Amino acid sequence: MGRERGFVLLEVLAAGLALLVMAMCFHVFAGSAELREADACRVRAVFLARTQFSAAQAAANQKALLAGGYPWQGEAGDLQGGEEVYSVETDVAGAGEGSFKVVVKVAWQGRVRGELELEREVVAHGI
Amino acid sequence: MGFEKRIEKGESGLAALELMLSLPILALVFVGIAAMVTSAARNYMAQRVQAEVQQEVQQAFMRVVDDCMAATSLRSERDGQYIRLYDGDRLVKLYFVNEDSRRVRKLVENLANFPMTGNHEWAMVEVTSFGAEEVDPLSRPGLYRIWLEAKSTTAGSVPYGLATEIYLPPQGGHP
Repeated sequence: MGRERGFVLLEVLAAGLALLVMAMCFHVFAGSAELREADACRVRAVFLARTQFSAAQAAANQKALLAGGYPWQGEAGDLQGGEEVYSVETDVAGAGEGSFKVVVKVAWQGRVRGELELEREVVAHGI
Repeated sequence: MGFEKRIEKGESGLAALELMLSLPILALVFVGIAAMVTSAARNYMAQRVQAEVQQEVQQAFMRVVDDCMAATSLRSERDGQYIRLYDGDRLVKLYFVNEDSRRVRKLVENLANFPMTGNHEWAMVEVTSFGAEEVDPLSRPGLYRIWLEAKSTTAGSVPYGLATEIYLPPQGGHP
Protein backbone atom coordinates (compact mmCIF):
# COMPACT_ATOMS: atom_id res chain seq x y z
CA MET A 1 0.00 0.00 0.00
CA GLY A 2 3.01 2.27 0.56
CA ARG A 3 3.49 2.72 -3.22
CA GLU A 4 -0.01 4.05 -3.79
CA ARG A 5 0.48 7.33 -1.99
CA GLY A 6 -0.49 10.51 -3.87
CA PHE A 7 1.63 13.68 -4.24
CA VAL A 8 2.73 15.13 -1.00
CA LEU A 9 2.08 18.79 -0.33
CA LEU A 10 5.75 19.72 -0.64
CA GLU A 11 5.98 18.34 -4.18
CA VAL A 12 2.90 20.23 -5.28
CA LEU A 13 4.19 23.44 -3.70
CA ALA A 14 7.60 23.08 -5.36
CA ALA A 15 6.07 22.42 -8.78
CA GLY A 16 3.64 25.32 -8.33
CA LEU A 17 6.44 27.65 -7.31
CA ALA A 18 8.52 26.68 -10.34
CA LEU A 19 5.56 27.32 -12.63
CA LEU A 20 4.89 30.66 -10.94
CA VAL A 21 8.50 31.78 -11.39
CA MET A 22 8.41 30.78 -15.06
CA ALA A 23 5.13 32.65 -15.59
CA MET A 24 6.52 35.75 -13.86
CA CYS A 25 9.66 35.68 -16.01
CA PHE A 26 7.54 35.46 -19.14
CA HIS A 27 5.29 38.27 -17.92
CA VAL A 28 8.24 40.57 -17.21
CA PHE A 29 9.85 39.78 -20.57
CA ALA A 30 6.58 40.29 -22.50
CA GLY A 31 5.95 43.51 -20.59
CA SER A 32 9.36 44.95 -21.39
CA ALA A 33 8.95 44.03 -25.08
CA GLU A 34 5.57 45.73 -25.18
CA LEU A 35 6.93 48.81 -23.42
CA ARG A 36 9.77 49.06 -25.94
CA GLU A 37 7.30 48.71 -28.81
CA ALA A 38 5.05 51.41 -27.32
CA ASP A 39 8.08 53.69 -26.93
CA ALA A 40 9.09 53.11 -30.55
CA CYS A 41 5.54 53.99 -31.63
CA ARG A 42 5.61 57.23 -29.66
CA VAL A 43 8.97 58.23 -31.17
CA ARG A 44 7.64 57.55 -34.67
CA ALA A 45 4.48 59.49 -33.86
CA VAL A 46 6.53 62.53 -32.79
CA PHE A 47 8.39 62.49 -36.12
CA LEU A 48 5.13 62.11 -38.04
CA ALA A 49 3.77 65.13 -36.19
CA ARG A 50 6.95 67.05 -37.01
CA THR A 51 6.30 66.39 -40.70
CA GLN A 52 2.90 68.05 -40.35
CA PHE A 53 4.24 71.00 -38.39
CA SER A 54 7.04 71.56 -40.92
CA ALA A 55 4.64 71.39 -43.85
CA ALA A 56 2.25 73.76 -42.06
CA GLN A 57 5.10 76.20 -41.41
CA ALA A 58 6.13 76.06 -45.08
CA ALA A 59 2.55 76.65 -46.17
CA ALA A 60 2.13 79.51 -43.69
CA ASN A 61 5.24 81.23 -45.03
CA GLN A 62 3.75 80.99 -48.51
CA LYS A 63 0.45 82.40 -47.22
CA ALA A 64 -1.15 79.11 -48.24
CA LEU A 65 -2.15 77.72 -44.86
CA LEU A 66 -5.89 77.74 -44.27
CA ALA A 67 -7.93 76.98 -41.18
CA GLY A 68 -9.59 73.57 -41.12
CA GLY A 69 -8.50 70.02 -41.69
CA TYR A 70 -5.03 69.50 -43.09
CA PRO A 71 -4.28 66.20 -44.86
CA TRP A 72 -1.18 64.09 -44.31
CA GLN A 73 1.75 65.84 -46.00
CA GLY A 74 4.43 63.16 -45.88
CA GLU A 75 4.86 59.97 -47.84
CA ALA A 76 2.19 57.31 -47.52
CA GLY A 77 4.80 54.69 -46.62
CA ASP A 78 5.74 56.62 -43.50
CA LEU A 79 2.36 55.74 -41.99
CA GLN A 80 3.38 52.10 -41.79
CA GLY A 81 6.02 51.23 -39.24
CA GLY A 82 6.82 47.74 -38.05
CA GLU A 83 3.57 46.00 -37.20
CA GLU A 84 1.67 49.22 -36.60
CA VAL A 85 -0.38 51.37 -38.92
CA TYR A 86 -0.56 55.07 -38.13
CA SER A 87 -3.23 57.63 -38.83
CA VAL A 88 -2.66 61.36 -38.63
CA GLU A 89 -5.34 63.99 -38.14
CA THR A 90 -4.37 67.62 -38.30
CA ASP A 91 -6.48 70.59 -37.47
CA VAL A 92 -5.47 74.16 -38.22
CA ALA A 93 -7.16 77.03 -36.43
CA GLY A 94 -6.55 80.68 -37.15
CA ALA A 95 -5.25 82.51 -34.11
CA GLY A 96 -4.73 86.00 -35.44
CA GLU A 97 -2.80 87.80 -38.13
CA GLY A 98 -0.72 85.14 -39.86
CA SER A 99 -0.79 83.01 -36.74
CA PHE A 100 -2.22 79.51 -36.53
CA LYS A 101 -2.69 76.86 -33.92
CA VAL A 102 -1.87 73.46 -35.41
CA VAL A 103 -3.03 70.37 -33.54
CA VAL A 104 -1.77 66.99 -34.73
CA LYS A 105 -3.28 63.76 -33.44
CA VAL A 106 -1.36 60.60 -34.27
CA ALA A 107 -2.95 57.23 -33.50
CA TRP A 108 -1.50 53.80 -34.11
CA GLN A 109 -2.95 50.33 -34.21
CA GLY A 110 -1.30 46.95 -34.43
CA ARG A 111 0.46 44.91 -31.83
CA VAL A 112 0.21 47.91 -29.53
CA ARG A 113 -2.27 50.75 -29.68
CA GLY A 114 -1.98 54.32 -28.61
CA GLU A 115 -2.30 57.92 -29.59
CA LEU A 116 -0.46 61.16 -29.16
CA GLU A 117 -1.61 64.74 -29.51
CA LEU A 118 0.79 67.58 -30.13
CA GLU A 119 0.11 71.24 -30.60
CA ARG A 120 2.16 74.09 -31.99
CA GLU A 121 1.75 77.72 -32.85
CA VAL A 122 2.75 78.41 -36.43
CA VAL A 123 3.46 82.01 -37.42
CA ALA A 124 3.89 83.09 -41.00
CA HIS A 125 7.19 84.82 -41.60
CA GLY A 126 7.47 87.37 -44.38
CA ILE A 127 9.12 85.89 -47.42
CA MET B 1 21.37 -17.51 2.64
CA GLY B 2 24.65 -16.97 0.66
CA PHE B 3 24.03 -15.05 -2.59
CA GLU B 4 20.48 -16.09 -2.65
CA LYS B 5 18.23 -13.07 -2.76
CA ARG B 6 14.63 -13.01 -1.99
CA ILE B 7 12.49 -10.71 -4.07
CA GLU B 8 9.71 -9.38 -2.06
CA LYS B 9 6.57 -7.76 -3.30
CA GLY B 10 7.27 -4.22 -4.61
CA GLU B 11 11.03 -4.70 -4.85
CA SER B 12 11.29 -6.02 -8.37
CA GLY B 13 13.59 -4.14 -10.85
CA LEU B 14 12.63 -2.45 -14.12
CA ALA B 15 11.06 -4.73 -16.62
CA ALA B 16 12.16 -4.45 -20.25
CA LEU B 17 8.73 -3.19 -21.21
CA GLU B 18 8.87 -0.39 -18.65
CA LEU B 19 12.30 0.59 -19.90
CA MET B 20 11.13 0.63 -23.53
CA LEU B 21 8.26 2.92 -22.61
CA SER B 22 10.01 5.22 -20.19
CA LEU B 23 13.14 5.92 -22.26
CA PRO B 24 11.32 7.43 -25.28
CA ILE B 25 9.10 9.44 -22.94
CA LEU B 26 12.17 10.72 -21.11
CA ALA B 27 13.82 11.53 -24.43
CA LEU B 28 10.71 13.43 -25.56
CA VAL B 29 10.61 15.40 -22.32
CA PHE B 30 14.29 16.38 -22.63
CA VAL B 31 13.90 17.31 -26.29
CA GLY B 32 10.90 19.45 -25.36
CA ILE B 33 12.80 21.21 -22.60
CA ALA B 34 15.79 21.78 -24.89
CA ALA B 35 13.51 23.20 -27.61
CA MET B 36 11.86 25.54 -25.11
CA VAL B 37 15.17 26.79 -23.75
CA THR B 38 16.62 27.26 -27.26
CA SER B 39 13.51 29.06 -28.48
CA ALA B 40 13.42 31.32 -25.40
CA ALA B 41 17.11 32.16 -25.77
CA ARG B 42 16.69 32.91 -29.47
CA ASN B 43 13.69 35.15 -28.82
CA TYR B 44 15.52 36.96 -26.06
CA MET B 45 18.51 37.59 -28.33
CA ALA B 46 16.25 38.77 -31.16
CA GLN B 47 14.45 41.16 -28.82
CA ARG B 48 17.71 42.58 -27.49
CA VAL B 49 19.15 42.99 -30.96
CA GLN B 50 16.01 44.73 -32.21
CA ALA B 51 15.94 46.96 -29.13
CA GLU B 52 19.49 48.02 -29.85
CA VAL B 53 18.74 48.71 -33.51
CA GLN B 54 15.79 50.89 -32.50
CA GLN B 55 17.79 52.71 -29.85
CA GLU B 56 20.69 53.50 -32.16
CA VAL B 57 18.42 54.65 -34.99
CA GLN B 58 16.34 56.82 -32.65
CA GLN B 59 19.36 58.48 -31.01
CA ALA B 60 21.19 59.08 -34.28
CA PHE B 61 18.10 60.31 -36.07
CA MET B 62 17.20 62.75 -33.30
CA ARG B 63 20.69 64.22 -33.43
CA VAL B 64 20.59 64.55 -37.20
CA VAL B 65 17.13 66.16 -37.19
CA ASP B 66 18.04 68.56 -34.36
CA ASP B 67 21.23 69.60 -36.13
CA CYS B 68 19.37 70.05 -39.41
CA MET B 69 16.80 72.28 -37.75
CA ALA B 70 19.54 74.36 -36.14
CA ALA B 71 21.19 74.95 -39.52
CA THR B 72 20.26 77.77 -41.86
CA SER B 73 20.61 75.65 -44.97
CA LEU B 74 21.11 72.06 -45.97
CA ARG B 75 22.70 70.51 -49.00
CA SER B 76 22.42 66.86 -49.89
CA GLU B 77 24.88 65.20 -52.24
CA ARG B 78 25.51 61.76 -53.72
CA ASP B 79 21.84 60.95 -54.18
CA GLY B 80 21.00 62.55 -50.88
CA GLN B 81 23.21 60.29 -48.78
CA TYR B 82 25.66 63.01 -47.91
CA ILE B 83 24.20 65.85 -45.82
CA ARG B 84 26.03 69.13 -45.38
CA LEU B 85 24.68 71.61 -42.85
CA TYR B 86 25.50 75.31 -43.07
CA ASP B 87 25.27 78.29 -40.79
CA GLY B 88 25.15 81.03 -43.36
CA ASP B 89 28.01 80.15 -45.70
CA ARG B 90 29.97 78.25 -43.07
CA LEU B 91 29.88 74.46 -43.15
CA VAL B 92 29.08 73.37 -39.59
CA LYS B 93 28.38 69.68 -39.91
CA LEU B 94 28.54 66.76 -42.24
CA TYR B 95 26.66 63.48 -42.03
CA PHE B 96 27.23 60.51 -44.28
CA VAL B 97 27.30 56.72 -44.34
CA ASN B 98 30.76 55.20 -44.20
CA GLU B 99 31.68 51.57 -44.75
CA ASP B 100 34.30 50.55 -42.18
CA SER B 101 37.08 47.98 -42.47
CA ARG B 102 34.65 45.19 -41.55
CA ARG B 103 32.31 46.31 -44.32
CA VAL B 104 29.68 47.58 -41.86
CA ARG B 105 27.91 50.71 -43.06
CA LYS B 106 27.82 53.27 -40.24
CA LEU B 107 26.36 56.74 -40.02
CA VAL B 108 29.19 59.09 -39.15
CA GLU B 109 29.46 62.73 -38.13
CA ASN B 110 32.08 64.83 -39.88
CA LEU B 111 34.78 62.14 -39.95
CA ALA B 112 34.78 58.44 -40.80
CA ASN B 113 36.10 57.56 -37.36
CA PHE B 114 33.20 59.26 -35.54
CA PRO B 115 30.45 56.66 -35.93
CA MET B 116 26.97 57.31 -34.57
CA THR B 117 25.69 53.81 -35.24
CA GLY B 118 27.06 50.30 -35.46
CA ASN B 119 29.83 50.66 -32.92
CA HIS B 120 28.39 48.12 -30.53
CA GLU B 121 29.45 44.51 -30.92
CA TRP B 122 26.15 43.04 -29.77
CA ALA B 123 23.82 43.92 -32.60
CA MET B 124 26.30 45.36 -35.11
CA VAL B 125 23.83 47.84 -36.51
CA GLU B 126 24.22 48.53 -40.21
CA VAL B 127 22.66 51.50 -41.97
CA THR B 128 20.59 50.38 -44.94
CA SER B 129 19.29 53.76 -46.01
CA PHE B 130 19.99 57.35 -45.06
CA GLY B 131 19.55 60.67 -46.73
CA ALA B 132 17.80 63.96 -47.22
CA GLU B 133 16.06 65.48 -50.18
CA GLU B 134 13.99 68.54 -50.85
CA VAL B 135 10.36 67.48 -51.07
CA ASP B 136 9.30 69.86 -53.79
CA PRO B 137 11.77 72.63 -54.67
CA LEU B 138 9.23 74.45 -56.84
CA SER B 139 6.05 74.58 -54.81
CA ARG B 140 7.44 74.00 -51.30
CA PRO B 141 11.06 75.18 -51.21
CA GLY B 142 12.91 74.60 -47.97
CA LEU B 143 10.91 71.52 -46.98
CA TYR B 144 13.25 68.55 -46.64
CA ARG B 145 12.53 64.90 -46.04
CA ILE B 146 15.14 63.14 -43.88
CA TRP B 147 15.24 59.41 -43.26
CA LEU B 148 17.38 56.80 -41.58
CA GLU B 149 16.92 53.05 -41.71
CA ALA B 150 19.13 50.35 -40.22
CA LYS B 151 19.18 46.72 -39.32
CA SER B 152 21.41 44.37 -37.42
CA THR B 153 23.86 42.17 -39.29
CA THR B 154 22.75 39.23 -37.12
CA ALA B 155 20.38 36.81 -38.81
CA GLY B 156 16.66 37.50 -38.67
CA SER B 157 16.89 41.21 -37.90
CA VAL B 158 14.10 43.38 -39.24
CA PRO B 159 15.00 46.82 -40.64
CA TYR B 160 13.89 49.74 -38.50
CA GLY B 161 13.59 53.21 -39.91
CA LEU B 162 12.41 56.70 -39.10
CA ALA B 163 11.56 59.57 -41.41
CA THR B 164 10.37 63.11 -41.00
CA GLU B 165 10.27 66.44 -42.74
CA ILE B 166 11.83 69.66 -41.58
CA TYR B 167 11.47 73.17 -42.85
CA LEU B 168 14.42 75.47 -43.38
CA PRO B 169 13.18 78.78 -44.78
CA PRO B 170 14.95 79.59 -48.05
CA GLN B 171 17.69 82.21 -47.64
CA GLY B 172 17.54 81.63 -43.90
CA GLY B 173 14.08 83.18 -43.75
CA HIS B 174 15.28 86.55 -45.08
CA PRO B 175 13.43 88.01 -48.02
